[in-house]
Amino acid sequence: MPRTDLLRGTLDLLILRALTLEPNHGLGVARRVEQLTEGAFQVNPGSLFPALHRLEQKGWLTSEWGASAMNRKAKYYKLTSAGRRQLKAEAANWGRISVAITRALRPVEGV
Amino acid sequence: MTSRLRHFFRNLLRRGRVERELADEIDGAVDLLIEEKVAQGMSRDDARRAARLEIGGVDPVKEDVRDVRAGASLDALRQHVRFGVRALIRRPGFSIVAILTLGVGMGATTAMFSLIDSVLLKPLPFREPGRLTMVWEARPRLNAPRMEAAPLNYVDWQQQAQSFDSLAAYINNFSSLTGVGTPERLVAAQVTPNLLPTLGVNPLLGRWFAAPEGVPGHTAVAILSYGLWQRRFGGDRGIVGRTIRLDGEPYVVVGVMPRTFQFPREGVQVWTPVDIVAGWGVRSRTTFYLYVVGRLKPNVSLEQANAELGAVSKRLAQTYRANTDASAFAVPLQQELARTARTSFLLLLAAAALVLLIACANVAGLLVTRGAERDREFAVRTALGGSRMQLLRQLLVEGVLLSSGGAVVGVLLATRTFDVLQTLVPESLRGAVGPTLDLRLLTMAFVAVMITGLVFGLVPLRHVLKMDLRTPLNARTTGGAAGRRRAQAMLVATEVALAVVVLFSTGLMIRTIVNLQAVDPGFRPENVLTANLSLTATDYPTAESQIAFYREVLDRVRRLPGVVSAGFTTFHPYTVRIGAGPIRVEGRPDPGNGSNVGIIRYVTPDYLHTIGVPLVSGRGFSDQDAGKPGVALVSERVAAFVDANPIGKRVNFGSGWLTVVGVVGDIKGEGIEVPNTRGTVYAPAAQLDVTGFFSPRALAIRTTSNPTALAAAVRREIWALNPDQTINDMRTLESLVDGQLADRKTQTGLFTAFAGLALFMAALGVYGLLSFVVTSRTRELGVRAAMGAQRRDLVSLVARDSAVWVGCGLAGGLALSTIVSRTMTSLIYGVTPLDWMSLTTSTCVLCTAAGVAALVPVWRATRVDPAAVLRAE
Repeated sequence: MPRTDLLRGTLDLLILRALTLEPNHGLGVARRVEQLTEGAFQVNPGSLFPALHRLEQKGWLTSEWGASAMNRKAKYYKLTSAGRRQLKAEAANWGRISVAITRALRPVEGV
Repeated sequence: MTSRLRHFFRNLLRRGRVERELADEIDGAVDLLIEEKVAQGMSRDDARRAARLEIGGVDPVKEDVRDVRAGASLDALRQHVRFGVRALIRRPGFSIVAILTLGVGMGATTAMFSLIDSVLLKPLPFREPGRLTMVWEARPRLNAPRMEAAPLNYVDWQQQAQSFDSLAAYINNFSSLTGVGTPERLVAAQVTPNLLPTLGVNPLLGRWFAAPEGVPGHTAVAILSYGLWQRRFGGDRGIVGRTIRLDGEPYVVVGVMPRTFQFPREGVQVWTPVDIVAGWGVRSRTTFYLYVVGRLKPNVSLEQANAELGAVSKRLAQTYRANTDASAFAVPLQQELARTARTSFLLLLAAAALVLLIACANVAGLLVTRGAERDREFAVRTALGGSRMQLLRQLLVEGVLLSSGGAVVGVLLATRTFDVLQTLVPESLRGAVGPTLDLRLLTMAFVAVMITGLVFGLVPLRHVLKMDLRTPLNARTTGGAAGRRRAQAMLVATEVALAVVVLFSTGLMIRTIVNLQAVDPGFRPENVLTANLSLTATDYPTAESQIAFYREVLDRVRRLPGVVSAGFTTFHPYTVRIGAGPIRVEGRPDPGNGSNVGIIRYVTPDYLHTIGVPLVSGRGFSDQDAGKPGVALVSERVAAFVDANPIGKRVNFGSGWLTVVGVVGDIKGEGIEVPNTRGTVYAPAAQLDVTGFFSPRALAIRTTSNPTALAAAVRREIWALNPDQTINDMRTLESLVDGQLADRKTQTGLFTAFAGLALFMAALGVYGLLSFVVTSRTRELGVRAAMGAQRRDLVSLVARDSAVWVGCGLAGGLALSTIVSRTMTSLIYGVTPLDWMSLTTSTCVLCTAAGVAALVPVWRATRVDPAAVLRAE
């Protein structure tokens, strides 16, 4: 499986997506992204945590301390309504871009 | 946005908590990862290792998170500053030397900047000062490229020149204030009624003059300065409308000027109006004494105004024979007022900037030699995960910290010099402007801090960028010492070159002072006491009563012990430039072009003898001249155009025909540096009906010893005659002569101070360089000594390269000096810009200083103990 380094914007998008169902802690978000992309993307903690903090500062996530599955203290991130709007906008944007890129990369007929 | 702001403040104010939470979060994530791996069947130890590997180090992750935080750059800066301060404190010797060095350089520069800013850059305190100009006459045939205006020419300019909204004129004079307490002589100005509207300044109280005022017969009016109003009238707002007595005449006060208004000269206390034509009744185009200020119309440029003045002058030259070679030109007022100061100020600033540059080079040199130690530190920090960008930022912050420290010291030093600098402000501006500690100065200091800080910060940059991590960590000896020695040697060579330039310029200034002091003023100023007595028209209405008073004063003064002789004249040398006029010779038409203009002085018989003007031929005045046909003495320059054999010829300069009875020496009464002083004519006051402007009021007393000891006795004698008599400016004639050199002495003093600093810092640089050479080559020296090298060899090994570099700097400095000195031609007197004596002296002084600085390190090189060095290996 190729491991792709995520562009920052894509990572933000995936993080927002990973938190749509339920709040999660940092490692949980990473695992959820891997799961959602069927392992295509492995999230490096070195970019995950800065991204979480950045999104929180932008007001798209909020956080609170809770207990993890192993009964350890963990910081849980939750999508805010602003975050949801952002996800929607970004997803639509991504859709347009991916369609455009797919079209651009379509093999030329007759070649 | 609000969210970001909230986080920003939280990050800033609740740092501890934010950090704790971050640690908890990351540690928690690591623990979870371990648990996950254990659950997958790894052993706990393996899981821990794998987790660490996956996370890639807890601290870098934290660092990355910190970087995205709101206010991260501020945070990083704070850290850099804290670290920088710690680094500076850890090396107090280095820091203190660096900060003091920079402080001295910055102090010199900011002080000079404050002076230049206040005099040359800040707008004058008038309305739209950019449109104000002075207007001058030029008379090439009189060797006078720039002269006060003749009254009738001013009147014509005023009527014909359309480029100006208004043209105003004034003269400086003095008035005696009587009738309120002690009599006092006031610094005064007689001005045309439109002067103040031209400048665009409103009175604090009352009004300015209105047009018919100044015409004889109209009520006499006066305007007071703020200082006079406060001091003599207690700031009474009812002063407007009251009558005061000036020179014994009643004047109605119509206004009071604001505190800051000091035009046309420092300390002016009273203004009176004059109508040039009706008021003075002057009809002259050959006496030049009016200062003319013009306000350009809004859309007229200086060039257009000058073109028009040229055209007007041409018309006047065709109409009046006296004007054949006359022209007129306008100069911006600010440039005019600062004219004499401009070159010297810019040169002083340049000298100060050189001192700052030398200081920078010095500190840079310190940083280079310190680089070895820093390299190891940087290598360690890089190895621990610091990025080169971070190191770079750290260096810049440290540079700026050093220069900020320097700036604080510098600004403090600069403020201590303001009193001295104030004396360099041209008299016409003094009081109105002056160096102050203000926002502009602080801004300038800040700019200097940033520039010098960046320079230092970047000195070690090359090393950081090219640094091979392993070398400094492995090597026990200093890495790249040779390269560093070369870098420092280049800096020292630069310092030497710059120091030579400052030394050489100072040499020229000192030689100029020496030359000026050697200029023969044409009289003997030592042991002469001078004073000014203004006789009021009410106390002494006639020439006879004045002459009687002078005689009595002289009789009483001569009787004082220690007095050799005493006399009166119109004005003392150097005090007043005006009081000149055409001298007609009997039987010859007046050339009418002003070529026969001389300075006119009315004296009592003993005056010339008292100040020591030599009699060249004929006879001097005597008491027997009184009541006989008029006689005159002419100075050699006047004699030259009167006749080859002037004695017996008759001349007229406004007091009827006078017979020349003798020729006396010329005096440099207009200024010691004025190259072609005009000649002087003297007439005995007792023969002529002289009152008013030309009346002899300047008293000179020659004594056998210290003349100031006599001051009290002289005052007593005069007041015994008339207790209301004003006695002003009691000082020695020597001090009047010295006053001619006062500005230059201050300038030269500053130059000398800068030269001393430059020399000291260059010497410090040489010392630092050689010390570093010795330290970094101790091992080599020890080995060579062990192999039998003689002391001479060791000295040569240490000093040869440095000597070459210092020599290069010296040569460069001398070359630079020859270029720089050309800009000084207007400031020097009696020396050529390539004065060999200054060149030699500065070379010698510099070599001596370098030699002395080299002594200690070189001595240390010869004392290297081979055994100790080898043991240390």
